[in-house]
Amino acid sequence: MFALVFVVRTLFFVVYWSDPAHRNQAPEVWMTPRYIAHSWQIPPEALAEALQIPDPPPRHATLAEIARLRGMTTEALIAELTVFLARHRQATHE
Amino acid sequence: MSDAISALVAEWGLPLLFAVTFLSCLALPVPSSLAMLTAGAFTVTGDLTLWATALAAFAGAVLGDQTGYVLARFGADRLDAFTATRPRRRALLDRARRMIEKRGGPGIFLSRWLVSPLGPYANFIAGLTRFPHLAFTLWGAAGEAVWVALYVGLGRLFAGQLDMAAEFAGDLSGLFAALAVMGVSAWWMTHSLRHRRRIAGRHD
Repeated sequence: MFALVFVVRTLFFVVYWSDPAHRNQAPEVWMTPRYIAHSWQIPPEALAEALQIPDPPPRHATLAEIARLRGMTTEALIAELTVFLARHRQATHE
Repeated sequence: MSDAISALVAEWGLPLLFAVTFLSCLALPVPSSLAMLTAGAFTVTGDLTLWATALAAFAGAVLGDQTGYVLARFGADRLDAFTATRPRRRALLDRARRMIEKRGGPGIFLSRWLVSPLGPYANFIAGLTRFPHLAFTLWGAAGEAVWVALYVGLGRLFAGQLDMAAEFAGDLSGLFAALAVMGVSAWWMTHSLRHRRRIAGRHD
């Protein structure tokens, strides 16, 4: 009985996940630029340029670290990045 | 919670992964599966290298198992001293030890990954019952290899969607636990049925 619940959940999950629209994960402080590039299928160098960091990015650079390097809050950086990602998605879907 | 551990993995990398798998094998409540999922994803994005990641997680897990086992072996000495003057308890302990020596290997293997929450306790029991050290190491290392491959592999598979990988892993371990409960109850039912039939046969 319990097994069935988990089987159904797993199946539901696989179906949901195979929809490309559900693939891009919203940026969060712990993410590295390469992680975001992978999640959003963006060339890492394009993302590095948008974040104004060198490519390859500094070792272990998360968004929190990059915000600190650029002297801005993580919220501001994530807001900036969200706009870039939305534009990028729009551009690639047209 | 998942963000916090992912941030730690991003910042501290392999030493953190090693520490987390080590501690989780000693029954400390650290999110080892999430740490491995995150590290697995970072091997795809190029933030970590695959072989070093797998090695760090595996080494931490095997050393954690060994630590639990060796600590419990000290406990075994005390248990021996305690039961030396108590023959009935001694007999019970001997029986438990014989059973675990005969059947313990697959249990050690499966409690690494299939029912991993039981893993640390299996280590303690193996040490307390003096399960042979070499057999413990071999069964344990084989199981930890499966555990690491499973979670790092899942992290790689879902590299851009770790939030979903975490949910999926939760479902998967729930499924494993449910299957394990089913398996044990099926075994127990057939076993007791057979036992009852044997008794009934004797009375005919």
